[in-house]
Amino acid sequence: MISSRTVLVFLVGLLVSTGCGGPPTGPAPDAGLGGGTGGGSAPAGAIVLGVAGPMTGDLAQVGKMMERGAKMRVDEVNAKGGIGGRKVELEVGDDTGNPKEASTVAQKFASNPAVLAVVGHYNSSCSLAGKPIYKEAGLVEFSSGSTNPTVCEGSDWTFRNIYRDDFQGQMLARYAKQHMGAARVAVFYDNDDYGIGLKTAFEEEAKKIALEVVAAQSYERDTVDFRPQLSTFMAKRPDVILVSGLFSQAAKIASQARESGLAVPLLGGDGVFSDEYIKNAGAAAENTYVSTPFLFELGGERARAWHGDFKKAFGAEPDAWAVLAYDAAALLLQGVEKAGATRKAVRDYVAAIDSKEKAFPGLGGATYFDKNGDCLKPVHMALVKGSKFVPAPKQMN
Amino acid sequence: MTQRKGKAARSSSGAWRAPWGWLAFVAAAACLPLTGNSYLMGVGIYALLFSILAMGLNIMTGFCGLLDLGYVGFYGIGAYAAAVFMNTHELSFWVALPLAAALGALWGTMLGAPTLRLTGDYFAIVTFGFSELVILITRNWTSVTKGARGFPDIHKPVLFGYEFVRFNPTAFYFLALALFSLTVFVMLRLESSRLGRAWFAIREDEIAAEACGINLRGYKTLGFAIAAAFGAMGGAFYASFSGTLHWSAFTFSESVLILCMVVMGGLGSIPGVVLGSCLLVMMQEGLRPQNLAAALAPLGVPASSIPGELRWIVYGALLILMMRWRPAGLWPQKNVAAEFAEEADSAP
Amino acid sequence: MLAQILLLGVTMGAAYALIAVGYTMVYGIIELINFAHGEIYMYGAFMCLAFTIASTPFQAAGAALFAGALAWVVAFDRMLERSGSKPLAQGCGLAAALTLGLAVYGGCLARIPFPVSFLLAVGLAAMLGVAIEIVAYRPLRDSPRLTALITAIGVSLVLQNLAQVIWSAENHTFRKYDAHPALFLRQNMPEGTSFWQTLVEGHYLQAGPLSMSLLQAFILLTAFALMLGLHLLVTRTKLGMAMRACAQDQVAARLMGIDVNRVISITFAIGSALGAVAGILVGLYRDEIKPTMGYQAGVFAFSAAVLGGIGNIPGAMVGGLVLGVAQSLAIYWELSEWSTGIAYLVMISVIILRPAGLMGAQLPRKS
Repeated sequence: MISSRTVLVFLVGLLVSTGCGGPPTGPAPDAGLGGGTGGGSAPAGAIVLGVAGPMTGDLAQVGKMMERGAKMRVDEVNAKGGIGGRKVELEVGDDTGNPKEASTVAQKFASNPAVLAVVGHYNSSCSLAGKPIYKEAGLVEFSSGSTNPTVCEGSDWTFRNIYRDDFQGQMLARYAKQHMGAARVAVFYDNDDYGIGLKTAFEEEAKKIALEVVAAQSYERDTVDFRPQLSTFMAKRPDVILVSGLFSQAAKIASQARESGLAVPLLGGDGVFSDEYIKNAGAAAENTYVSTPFLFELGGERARAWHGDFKKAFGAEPDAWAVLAYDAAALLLQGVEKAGATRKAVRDYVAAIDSKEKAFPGLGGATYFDKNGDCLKPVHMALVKGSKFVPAPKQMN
Repeated sequence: MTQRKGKAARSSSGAWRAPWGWLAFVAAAACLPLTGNSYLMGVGIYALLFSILAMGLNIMTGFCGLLDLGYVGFYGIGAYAAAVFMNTHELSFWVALPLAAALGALWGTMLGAPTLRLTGDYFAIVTFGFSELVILITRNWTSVTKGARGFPDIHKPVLFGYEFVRFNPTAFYFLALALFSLTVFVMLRLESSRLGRAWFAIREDEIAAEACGINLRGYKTLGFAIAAAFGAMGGAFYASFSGTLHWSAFTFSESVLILCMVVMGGLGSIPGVVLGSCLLVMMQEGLRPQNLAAALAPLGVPASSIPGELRWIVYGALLILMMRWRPAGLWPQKNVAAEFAEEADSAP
Repeated sequence: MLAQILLLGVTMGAAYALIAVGYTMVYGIIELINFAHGEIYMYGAFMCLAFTIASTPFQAAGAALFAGALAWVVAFDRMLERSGSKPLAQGCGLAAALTLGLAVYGGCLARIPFPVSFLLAVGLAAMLGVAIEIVAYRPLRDSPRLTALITAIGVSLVLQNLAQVIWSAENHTFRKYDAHPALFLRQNMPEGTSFWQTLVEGHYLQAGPLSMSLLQAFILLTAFALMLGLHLLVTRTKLGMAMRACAQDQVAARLMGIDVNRVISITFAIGSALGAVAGILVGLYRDEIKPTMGYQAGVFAFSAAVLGGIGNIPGAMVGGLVLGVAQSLAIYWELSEWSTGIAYLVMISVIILRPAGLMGAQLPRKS
């Protein structure tokens, strides 16, 4: 018994020592010290903006784009001398696209008083997992990628600068009917919040406009063989195949559809809008229409200039997720500058942008919010042509 | 060898003594909220939660010697059951928690009764398949579990009019500590009871145990049900603490993680299992690429160059190394250590 | 349409069967569920891809270090067994490690014609299986079963995540590298003559309403040929007899003069090679390779092995086919979301209701 007691004491010591020795294992307490003073009165500490997304794992590409987009804005602000003499820092939280990790990331941001607002998360499931914590802590969660309709419901602290899936699904159905001349659509959907939400909205709208959904098949993220589903589609003779899911499975579907002799155009949501899609599907990607929140080609001179700056700064082509994260960071930092360096001030500033007149002129379009924190933004359509996404010849007004 | 066996038998049948070590541990753990750091408290909550789960799994794998690869299935059942009880049926957390645990026990019995007559390998596989089915059902039974989107906005416990807070989780921390203490108490009582001794007998030698009049299937099923109840209780706590549930929190890798905790601490050893859980939860935090990069900052290692898979490689290596060189764990239960030593002696 | 879907089911079933054979053989001989078998399947596919395309230096170095370690283990073990001299075995291991490491490094950087990469990858995977047995399972042969099972899980974790470090978690596709003509020997042969090229580029065999890609036909043929060969090997040859003897009673087999360790190593090598073949074929067929691919394939194949009766080689083949067809039927009835669940349901219900499986199993004994 004595020996086990000694070990227990050792264990307690271990626990306590991690308690005191926290700083080396986590950056949070470190930054927390600076913020503790900075958040109050002294202008010494840095202003911290959080950015949360899938920095590792399957969706790491998206996370990296978000981080770079936000970084771009932070660097611009710092180059102008920061905000009120204080430097702005970016703190990155990796939710790996997993809601459980997202809770931990949210907890970490929330417990660091220097963090004044968070750009993120990307996956709707992650945004939803973080929501209760951000709400309690009183910290703005500003998603630049979550499109599930429920993301902003029931919290005053949650906003986004991207449309919702119900709107996107509606637009996709109309586009198929009006501009692709489709009468019969076969649907593949990811058995996940995103895939189901988008597909449901699409089906509802399709019913209204007499667009027939001839078949619907779900799949899991780890599915790689879509041939059996495709051969059930084949018999139903669809004019268009909708892929309500993410780019990696969409690429498989495209190449296997072409291989099985299904040459009809593909239609996808913004989950398919990624260069990885074209890279993976190769020639099979041609003739795929996707909806997207942003297209550089339609963004005018300002977008082109930004595109160049981004490429210079990071040596990589930006995409829509970088633009939206940049906009989110810009809006939040403007809030800090104009309304004050507290979490509450930032929230009130963002919430007050509630009409077209007060809209924030983002790179990715004018942004303003309804009382939930959702925003109304147009859906653009892109088409794969010559192994590149180009604006589709016909857009939804 | 006979000497060792005698000693082992004595320690497992010893009279109940006040567990001073445990009291000291709980008292020390109760001081953690004094730091006021809610991130640390969050880590502490996970350490306690996983200790509860690991102690539950330990009944099957440590006490009875049966590998349960789907323990997380009960954890998931408990979590979703509690969420449904609280949100859909508007029950209070204090009612939902025992109900969830009871439901876990029920499932444990239903799954265990037909399976436990088989040998260990088949048992391991059935439990594995079961936990995968639990995931599949939580994803697709949308009307009840809210499906793939996850179960949102789960109610928080309310105690005497005080509603628990997630962001500053002191109350949750003490709740976890209370559940932890309850679990330890039950485990200590079980270990020194007739039931516990029957389990050890089954683990050491099934045939001999049966010859001594131990009802193998009955005792194993009972063990499985109790283990499942603790898993489900942990799940109910997790549901309320995290506020949202998503199927991805209940995958096979969680089962492996819990197994890793049990193996590392010591199969069958209650303090060992708790030690294993605390160490692994801390390791999980420490091995996050960002935290590791912060710790290695003087060396200038950027977070992006540290693979996120690192911790799983470490866990896998731990399992292999522990099994090879220290199968009884860091803090072995006395008779397990004796058994392994015996194996080593008798090995050619 | 039903017939078409069944045909697709049979194709996947044949692949499951190839993997399932590996589980069953290992279980038959050392009564261990080799959780790492799915990772061997994954590793075979990755090595084949790494050889056919030009890898980055980081990937090449990772693959080379890993292959070198395998070579060291296997050469050391064989030499020690044969000569009994430790320094000699060490020297031999070092030489093997250096040779193979350098060869793999060069092979990954260069582009090797597909058929050659295929064979090399299968060989490396066989070596991986043998090395796993030597390092992880052999020392535990006399320990409680629990110990070996937990070790197997550990091995699987390490291998899967190591692959993620070397090749990253993203999807790799053969098609993505279409731009590299070396992949299918296109530069060596005039258009339209390359067997491999026709194979993977979606040429079809048509028979009435049924169509089958050449690749599919190739998978079916390869799988059945390999399994027939295996069956003959086990039932008709001296080696097969030794394997069956070891499965029945290792002590007695040793007394009969059988080198039990060698037989077990060969069993692992054969099972792993078949798994790697399946990995490469499925990788081509699905056109996707990723480090986590072994987990699900492993689960499905294991269910197939259980269904057929674990330890029973023809049973594994039947189990694989039944499972593949059952999964494709679920899709036919638009129940896709449950098609993975079928494997688990099959596994659980067979174990509970008929533990011996369809074809009769060698039931586990308490060691």
